[in-house]
Amino acid sequence: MSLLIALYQVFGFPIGIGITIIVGWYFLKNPEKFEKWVSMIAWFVSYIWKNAEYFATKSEIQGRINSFIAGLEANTTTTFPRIALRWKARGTDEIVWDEGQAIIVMRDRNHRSKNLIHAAYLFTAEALLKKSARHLSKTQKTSLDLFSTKLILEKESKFAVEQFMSEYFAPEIDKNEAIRGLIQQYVHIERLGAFFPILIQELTYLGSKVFLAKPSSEIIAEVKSLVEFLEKFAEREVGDTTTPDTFVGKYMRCAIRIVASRAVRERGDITSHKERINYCVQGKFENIYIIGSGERKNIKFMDEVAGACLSENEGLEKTRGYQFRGKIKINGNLTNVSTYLIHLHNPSAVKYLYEANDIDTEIT
Amino acid sequence: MDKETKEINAVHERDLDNLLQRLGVKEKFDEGAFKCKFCKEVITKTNLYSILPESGAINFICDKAACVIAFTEYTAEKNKNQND
Repeated sequence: MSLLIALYQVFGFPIGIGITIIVGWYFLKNPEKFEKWVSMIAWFVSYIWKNAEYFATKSEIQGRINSFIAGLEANTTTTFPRIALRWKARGTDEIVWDEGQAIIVMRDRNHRSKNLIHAAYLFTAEALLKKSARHLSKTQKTSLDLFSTKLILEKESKFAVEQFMSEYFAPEIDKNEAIRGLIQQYVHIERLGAFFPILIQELTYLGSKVFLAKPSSEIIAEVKSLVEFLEKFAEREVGDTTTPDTFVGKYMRCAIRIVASRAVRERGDITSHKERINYCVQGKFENIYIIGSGERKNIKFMDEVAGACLSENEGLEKTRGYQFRGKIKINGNLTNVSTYLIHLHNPSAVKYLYEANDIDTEIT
Repeated sequence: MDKETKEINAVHERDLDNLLQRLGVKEKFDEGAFKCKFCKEVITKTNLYSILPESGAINFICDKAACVIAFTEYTAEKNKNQND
């Protein structure tokens, strides 16, 4: 016993300091996780001190939504905005009334799910997909807002997603066939793991482009084609080589390259894959997504292919490589697999300014 | 790239009276004089989702799912037109 006390006296203080530093560092790197913890504590405190509810509501909404965004940024190259809830009309605080800036009503502790749904939906529509939805039709935008909010709530609150699906999602797709059809396509795309990493990514790039002649119906049709292309790709059977793996639009060009079959990987020859990707780079594809199995050997092989392409094409950038769980079709059955995706961005192919009838003829 | 923050303005339901008072519309609000911008249902403290100041007027939106969605569609269209 006395030995334990002696050990505690010697090591207790430095261990305590060490743990505090590690926890502090973790929360400093992940402020949204800190907010989630703070909100849990604040909800307990609010039983005794009612004003803690303001803090609990704010930190819960910020913590949950920003936590989803942080996860999203780890899987895409896009930087998404963070949410910050600002209370208005608390006590005698001055109300700064901005034209066109809505104030949403937050309810008490019995309506935490509703509060999260309202904040998440508004944030998704006004900020998260702001750039990517810039040139979309009303139906395309609403379907993306609904589907993205579903993904946020699914990850962050099981209670809220249940309420959202029954009160918002289902009635909206019941009354609008076009939205139902688009959501169906997003479900297939998301199954592969390509909703945010490829579809939203492509739409975000599209949102950065400026159209001098406002070809809105043309862009809307092109987005529709992109969604169809990604859906078809997501629904392909493993081994099927007939499904298109390149999308050539007037404003967006992307390619998906599968790397590699076991036979090719075991041969260790990267040449054919490298040449197919180089062909896309020379063909002015803006983004090339290399996708394949997340097995360690395959990741190594994919990195070798990407590395060879990067060294042969000046200006080509590897924006991200990451692993996730995706579903692929084998003999008609969906199988959950570890997937690895490398995003190569080709800045020299990007055109930011489009004039009327501005058709680039470099791709045939 | 810098991380952008989107501020969402919110009012806690227990501060609603204070907000309406300071906007000078509390009496009319309590009388049921305001209707939802989209479905035209009478706005009360229990069904209020959002308050939107626009062109000198104050619009109210109820918390029906269809109106919440209509509201975001409306603001998106408005932002699009402003950008245009």
